[in-house]
Amino acid sequence: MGLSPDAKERLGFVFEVTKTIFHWGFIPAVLYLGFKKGADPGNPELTLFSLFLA
Amino acid sequence: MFCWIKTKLDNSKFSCKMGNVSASAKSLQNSAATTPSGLPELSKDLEASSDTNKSQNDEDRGNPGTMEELHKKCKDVMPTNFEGAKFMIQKGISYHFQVTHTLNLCTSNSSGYRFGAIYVGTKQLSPSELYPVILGDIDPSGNVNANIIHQVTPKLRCKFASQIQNSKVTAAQLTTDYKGNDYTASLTVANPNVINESGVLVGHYLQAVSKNLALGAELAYQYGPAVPGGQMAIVSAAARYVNGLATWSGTAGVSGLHLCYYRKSSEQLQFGVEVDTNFRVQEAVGTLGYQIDLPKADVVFRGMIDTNWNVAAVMEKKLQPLNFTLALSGILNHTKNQFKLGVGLIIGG
Repeated sequence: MGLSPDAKERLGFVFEVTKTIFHWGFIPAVLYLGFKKGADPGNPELTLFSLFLA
Repeated sequence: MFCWIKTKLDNSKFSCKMGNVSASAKSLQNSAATTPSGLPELSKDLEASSDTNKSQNDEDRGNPGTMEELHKKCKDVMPTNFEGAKFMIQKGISYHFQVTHTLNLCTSNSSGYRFGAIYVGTKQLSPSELYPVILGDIDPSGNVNANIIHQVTPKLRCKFASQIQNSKVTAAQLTTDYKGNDYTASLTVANPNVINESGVLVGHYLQAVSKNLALGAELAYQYGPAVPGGQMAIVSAAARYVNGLATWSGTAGVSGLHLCYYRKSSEQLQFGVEVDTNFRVQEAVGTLGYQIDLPKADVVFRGMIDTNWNVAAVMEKKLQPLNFTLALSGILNHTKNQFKLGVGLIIGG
């Protein structure tokens, strides 16, 4: 089963880019989803401080 | 505890050839244990989810649960030890969103700060179950653990877990569980690498034979240039017998034998006995563990002793009326003269 060295290289590049996006994008994505959902009804709006302060 | 993230690629099986994967799978487990243990609704859900499956078909055999959870009851009474000082703040921002700040001070390299975030989606399968669950944590040097769990249909659940350390994917695995009326079939793909053609595939099948007895099999297949002959496969068999308050479970294969016995003696006391042998390294370990719940004192105590002369215990006490939990951990080895103490304070959750 062979991929040509050239194809491997290109595939490797694609994986590397995907990995980097996933690596640095995962936590921001979770935070984005959480903020997009917003606060529970009746509670004040979320701000970045809600992540740290009680 | 987020036990359900336990992406268990069965421990000892590949331990020689596959040190890497099992090590990473183990660290995934650890991270699962150290990641936010709070979000009470959530953890209850996930326990409930397996319970509902069990009780759903009570009149017939019922779903036996997954193979990963075969020894769960016995494992759950064993203490999860930690070392050093641990300080954790769990902050529920909304019903769907929680963040955690953890500060770990110890001699190992897991020392330092970690930030964790959990997002729970809006797909509601039962009043207490929400999907997808997306959780991850990151430390200042950019090491990330990421987990995604989604119940795609009422019978089909997908779990993805990955770990990135020093900008390298040290573990990645995708597990798909299909829960039928009286069986569960799972397929796990771990660390697939198309470029150097390596990876691990694990298939599980667990069938409820009667109301009390479940039988199953596991096929683990590893391929890659590092494997002698390019590929190898290991088959093992599994069984679980539930007799009232007691549960026997075991897995047996060419590489090892693993037996567990669990019993709930009273409302306060549960205990488990475990024997794990590995034929490859010619080693066997027996463990006796117990859990004492004292709801009036808000204390959960877990202790264990094993044949390597380890004595370990973890005590968790809720400091009512504050929303604090104090955890004390101790592990003592008489032959090696080692003692490790851990103190933890968890705020919120």
